[in-house]
Amino acid sequence: MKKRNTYINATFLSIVLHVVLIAALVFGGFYSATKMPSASSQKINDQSSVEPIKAVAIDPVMIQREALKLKRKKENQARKEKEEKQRLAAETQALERQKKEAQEKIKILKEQRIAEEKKVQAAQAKREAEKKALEEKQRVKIEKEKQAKLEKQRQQKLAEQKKAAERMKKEQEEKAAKEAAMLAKKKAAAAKEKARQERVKQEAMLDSLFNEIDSETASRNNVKTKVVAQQVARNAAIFQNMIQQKLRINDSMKGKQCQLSLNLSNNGVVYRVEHPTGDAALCSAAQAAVLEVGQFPMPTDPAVVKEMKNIRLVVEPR
Amino acid sequence: MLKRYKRLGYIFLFLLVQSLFAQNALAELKIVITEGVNTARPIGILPFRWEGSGTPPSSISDIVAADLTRSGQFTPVAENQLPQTPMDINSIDFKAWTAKGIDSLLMGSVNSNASGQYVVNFKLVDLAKGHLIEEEKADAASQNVLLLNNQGIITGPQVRNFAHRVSDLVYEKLTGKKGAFLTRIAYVVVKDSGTYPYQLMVADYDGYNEKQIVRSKEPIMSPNWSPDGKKIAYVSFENKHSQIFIQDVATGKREVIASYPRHNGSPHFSPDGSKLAIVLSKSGSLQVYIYDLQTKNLTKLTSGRANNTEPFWFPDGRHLIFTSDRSGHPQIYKLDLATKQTQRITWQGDQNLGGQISPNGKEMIMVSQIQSHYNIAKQDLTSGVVQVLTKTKLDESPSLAPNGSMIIYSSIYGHNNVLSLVSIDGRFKARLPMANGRVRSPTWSPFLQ
Repeated sequence: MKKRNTYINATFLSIVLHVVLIAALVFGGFYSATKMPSASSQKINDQSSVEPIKAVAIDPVMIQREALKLKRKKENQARKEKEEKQRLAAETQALERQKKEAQEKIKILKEQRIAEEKKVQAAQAKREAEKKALEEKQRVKIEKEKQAKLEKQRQQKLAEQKKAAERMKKEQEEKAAKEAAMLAKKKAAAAKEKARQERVKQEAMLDSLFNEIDSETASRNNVKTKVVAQQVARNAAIFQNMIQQKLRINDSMKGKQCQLSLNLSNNGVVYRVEHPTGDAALCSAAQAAVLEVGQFPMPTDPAVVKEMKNIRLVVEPR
Repeated sequence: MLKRYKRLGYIFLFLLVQSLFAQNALAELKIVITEGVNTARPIGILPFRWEGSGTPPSSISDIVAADLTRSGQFTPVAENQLPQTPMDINSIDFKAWTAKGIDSLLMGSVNSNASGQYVVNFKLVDLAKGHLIEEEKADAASQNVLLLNNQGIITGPQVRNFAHRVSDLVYEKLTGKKGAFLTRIAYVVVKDSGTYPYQLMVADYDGYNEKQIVRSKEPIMSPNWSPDGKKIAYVSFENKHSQIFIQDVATGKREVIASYPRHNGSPHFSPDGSKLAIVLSKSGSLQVYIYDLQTKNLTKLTSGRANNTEPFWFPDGRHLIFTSDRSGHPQIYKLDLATKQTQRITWQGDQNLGGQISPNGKEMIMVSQIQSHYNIAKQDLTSGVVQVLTKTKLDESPSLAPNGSMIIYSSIYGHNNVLSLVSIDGRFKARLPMANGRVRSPTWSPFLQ
């Protein structure tokens, strides 16, 4: 609207100016013209009563030219103005557009930034989550390892305990065997001592008769006896255990005693159970236990076997 | 010349010493056994073969197996666990039995003869011996392996008694102790209805062959056998107050021994049968007296305000035990008849009562209250160690078998008092089959001939 107003104003101004210009040109022509056109004279005549106009004759073509010139100028101006206006408008528009575009851009940028931020946040969250997950994983792993370690330790401990128990058992067994061995040894030693004494006596008596003593053989026998005694003791402990596992007793047998002789074959089969003395029921139980065992494991060494074949079994439940 | 003889003499001496030494080398290895497994001894009992015609009598081998099981000392091997069922000793695979720890086998046969009697043959085989004889490649069928080889000719009603006799023989052969399977028990049956709700009964130890010897409308209590097994002393309220009777089991003849004011109770024969320990309350509280059956003299043994009851003789006849509440609760005391000195002998459990001394005088059986449960317990009189034998709740009046191997007692089963049996080691427990009614005060007879 405003634009239109300015446009009208400009046009109006333009017309006014054109009129003034034409007027000026007309009067200028009259003053400057030396000769007055005829037509004009008539007019002058008409106006003879008024102050004469000191006009110069004006060439209409010139006027027309001038007018055209003016008109063109004006048109030029108007066009220029219009162009200017258009330019301005375009500029404004462009500016506005630019502004708009800028805003748009800003908006987009903003959005982009937000999106970016969101992305960053998401990324961060994700990272954090991942981190956490990793941490958890590691924690679990550590925990697992810890547990595994503990379990391993426990197992180890158990194994150690078992080992210790076994060791203890073994030690006990060894001790029992040792004790039995000691006993056997003692017995053997006693027997040997007796034998030795006998022999010394005999040797002393026979010294003059058979002037020879094979001391070397004696010492060799000594070592051999020791080894045999050990093996006998170990086997005796095994026999004892086997019989105890089969011996059925009751309370009334506690404190009572039964002794019996046991004869084994070379391969340990119970060959004879003889001379039971003591509580009859206990003796029956002992005999049944021995026969239930049936065959005792025999060592390979014939010297040991010889010692194991005749056994005096003393049964006294406590 | 002389020198030469001397030399020969030395050689002879040397040989003699050598031979002695050689014997020494054969010395036995000594192995000492101090432990064993606490279980009953397995025994093989083959079903006695029926060789007669018609229906066989009740199974003797079953009765023997039940008897030996009740003693707690034997486990007859289940029939499907027997390694074999040999027809005779010649077909016994001894090692198959001994390998299972079975060292004796009872086998037998039953036939009928022309006069309708049963001829029973039975053998107890020493499987251990058989095993060893076989080992020596000797004749296994030799008679050596037989511990028993007997024959009996019996009639139908005698079958159970005969079976118990077989049990006694087997038990004695294998344990060295007299069996108590051919014994009887006396007990009181209390019925809720009928004209005579109170009945004194006598039966085989296992509850069979039950016979009524007294019936009454009023309570009967505390039966006790005389040492010869011919008489029973008991308390009866038939005359509206308690009286002590002694009755001949065979003839039914009886006499009143005590009928003092107030209570007359707990008669118990002395081991020689000449005296009767009784409990009277004529002076107020219950006190133990000895009544001499020959002189009719009455001797008061206990006094004081507390109650003293349930006298029981030691086998030596010189000591008595009785239950007294002088400490506030019933406990068992021992009285020396010569010195009159009394000594408390039970210290474990809240209450101890009904004491019975074992035939060897070394153990005491009693009812022991521990935390509201009344159980049969065994106390070693030397060490004082107490072993609770039963797990039921209200056990009462225990009575020992004459060989001390089993205890019969009354316990609650369902809502009734039933007759129960436990072996002295507590291993075996059983309820005995009985007629209707509550069974109280069982008492075991001495050995019967």
